[in-house]
Parts: sequence; C-alpha cells; structure tokens
Amino acid sequence: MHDHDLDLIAALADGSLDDQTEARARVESCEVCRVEFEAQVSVLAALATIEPLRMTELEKAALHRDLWAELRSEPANEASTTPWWYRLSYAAAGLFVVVGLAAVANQLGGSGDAGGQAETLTEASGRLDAGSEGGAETPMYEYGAQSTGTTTAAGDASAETTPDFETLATEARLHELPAADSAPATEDQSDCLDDAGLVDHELVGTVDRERTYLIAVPAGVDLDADTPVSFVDADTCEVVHVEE
Amino acid sequence: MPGTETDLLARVITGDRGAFDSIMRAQEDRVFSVCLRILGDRDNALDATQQTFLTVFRKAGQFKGDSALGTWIYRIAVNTCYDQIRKSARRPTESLPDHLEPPDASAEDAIDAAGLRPEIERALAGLPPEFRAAVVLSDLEGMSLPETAHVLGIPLGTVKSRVFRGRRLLAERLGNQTAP
Repeated sequence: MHDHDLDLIAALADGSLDDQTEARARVESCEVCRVEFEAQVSVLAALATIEPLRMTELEKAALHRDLWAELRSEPANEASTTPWWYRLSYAAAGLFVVVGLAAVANQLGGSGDAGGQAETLTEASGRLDAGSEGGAETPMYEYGAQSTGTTTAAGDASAETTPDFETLATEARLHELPAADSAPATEDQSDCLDDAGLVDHELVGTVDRERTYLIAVPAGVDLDADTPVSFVDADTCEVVHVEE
Repeated sequence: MPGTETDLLARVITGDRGAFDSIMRAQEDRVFSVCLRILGDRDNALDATQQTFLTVFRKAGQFKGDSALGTWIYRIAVNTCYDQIRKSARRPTESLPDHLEPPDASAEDAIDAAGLRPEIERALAGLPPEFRAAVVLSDLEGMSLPETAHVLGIPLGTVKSRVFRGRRLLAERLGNQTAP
C-alpha cells in the first residue's frame, strides 16, 4: 500500500478527512485498503475505551511538596524568571549604544578605516544576538577547519584529534559556539542523527578534528546546564560521546 | 493564549507561587497521563511530571506565547520523557524499547501494577517511543495533528506517518489483522 493511500484511509477512519469521496472509493474497490480501514477503526475504538489516567490525591500532595522543596533549595535565577521580551529590550538597548559609539568613532576618525568599523559592528551585533538567544530556536555553528578564527578554549584545540567535549557542550548550552554558519542541518546530517538513534534531536554545530563530529541537543527544549549534548561521528553516524 | 493563562504566567514570572500552583493544578493530570503512557511506569511518570513542572517554573520567562500554554507544557513533558527513555537506555541492564526487539517485559509488569487496561496498554508500550508519543497525544489525549506536531517539534507529515503507522502496529499487536 502506498503512503498516500494509508494517509487517506487512516484519515477516513479518524474522521479528519474533509472530502471522503476518494478514500471511500479506495476502501470499496481495494481489499487491502478495506482491511487497513477496518484495522484503523478497530484500534481507534479500542483506544476510546481506555480510561483517563489520574494521579491519586496522595501522589498530587507528594508532587507539590517535593516540587516546592526543590524550588526552595535553589537560588533565585534572574535570567530564568525574566520575560524574553524584557531580555530582548536589553539587547536592543545594547545595540543602540554600539551603533551610537560607532557613529561617534566615525565622526572622530573621519573616513579612514570604514572596513574596520564595519567589522567591529558585525562582531558586536553578533555578540548581542548570541546573548539574547534564549528560546528553542537554536542556531548552528561549525568548528575547527571551517572556523572563522574565533578563539575559545575548545576552538584553540583544532590541531588535536579529539574534541574537548566538555567545553564544546558548555558552549553549545550557552549558545556560545562561534558563529560561522547558521544554515540548517543538511538532509544527510539529519539522517545521520536518526541513524545514531537521536530522533527528535537537532543539530547545533559541527566540529572538525581528525574526523568530523555533529553536535546535537534535544529538539525544542531550552538549553540549560542539565541538557545532554551528544557528539556523533559524521562518517559512522554513531554517538561517540554524550556530555551530561 | 486565553487571558487567564496570560495573567497567571505574568504572575509566575514575578515569582507568584500561587499563580504557578493554579497552572499546575489545571495541567498536572494531563501531563501525568501523557508521561505515564509514554513511559509505561507510574514512578517514572511521577518523576517526569515533577521535572516537567520544575522546568515550566524555571523557564516561565522564555514562553513566547506562540502556542497555548498547555501545548508548551506538553512539549516540555514529552521532551522530559524522551530524556528519561534515553537515560534508561544508557543503563547497561535496561534497553530502549525498539520495534526490532520484543516488548520490554519489565514495562509490561509495571503496566499491570499500575492498573491500566493491560492488553491495550501493553500493545502501546510495545510501540517504538516516537510512534507511541504520537499516538498517545493524538488518539488518547485528543490533540489535533497540527497540535501534536507542535508538541513533538516535528513536521505535520511526520506526525501523520507516526500516528497512522503506530495504529497499524497496534492493530497487529492486538491481533486484529495481518498487516496489508
């Protein structure tokens, strides 16, 4: 059975199809389609008999008690309780200051080193962008051979054969991998993560040493110190290290 | 996002724990239900539920409002469950449920102990995790396919494929049919 047929028949079974004409014709004219339709209907009927799951009152009480105990034991974290739009306003204010300083420098220095100023502005706004990034949208970076020369503890180690996983993981969590390329993951890279068993992960960067490694984090989560960062050999598509 | 959710979240951001309690009480049963059906173990589901709400509290300021608050919370819950599955897969004595392997017997024992309807829950527990999550959200929790896609962070076409094929696998496991 083709994927299109399964989509059609399954949607007919769960009632999500607007125009049922084509799907009904398939079911009536094709034995395999009819069997598939009946299977989908029977599973939906079975699932509909399942009772909703609830916590007991004791479990709820324990959940609330343990959760507040955990929250009370940790120091207040301003960053985590500051709205994203509020932090964005910091970034906007910072950018305004940088542009203003650049304008003053331009007035003082005349037309002398326009290229150098442009580079300074680009670097500054890049830092602001990195600092204001706090959500699930995660930029991707390349490291090592393709690095633009940004120096970090891990980036300096490009001559080594094994990456500094711990430093790379920390920088990935902080969105501080040097930005060299923000292109989305290629299909091959996504397939490689799937082959490595990292379904529902996203690529946040690559690092080139003797071999190339893909750096991946769970998709759609806000990165923090507890986020596991996985390193996958780009040739074998195997997980070589997970930094917890 | 409904006004009451907006107001509550704004109060959570300022540190109002009563507001957070209200959000938690409104969502905790459904979060627990999703976690229990994905993980198949009551204790692990309770842990995942607690971890989910800790993350919600800590990250409240990062909610962008581009989806319902509940959808955002379920997304955190699903990712928390995936993390648990990955961690248990890394333990040498346990393995990640896989469609190429027989269902995890210990998970099935846990289902019996949890008092769930055994034959259906057992079949559900035997699905690969990514199929199980899609079927749970769509067919058990009643989310639309686009909402399910948003919670799982994957394209709509992928969700359809996982839900429809997940149902087919369930049918096979429940003995309703031989796969076409």
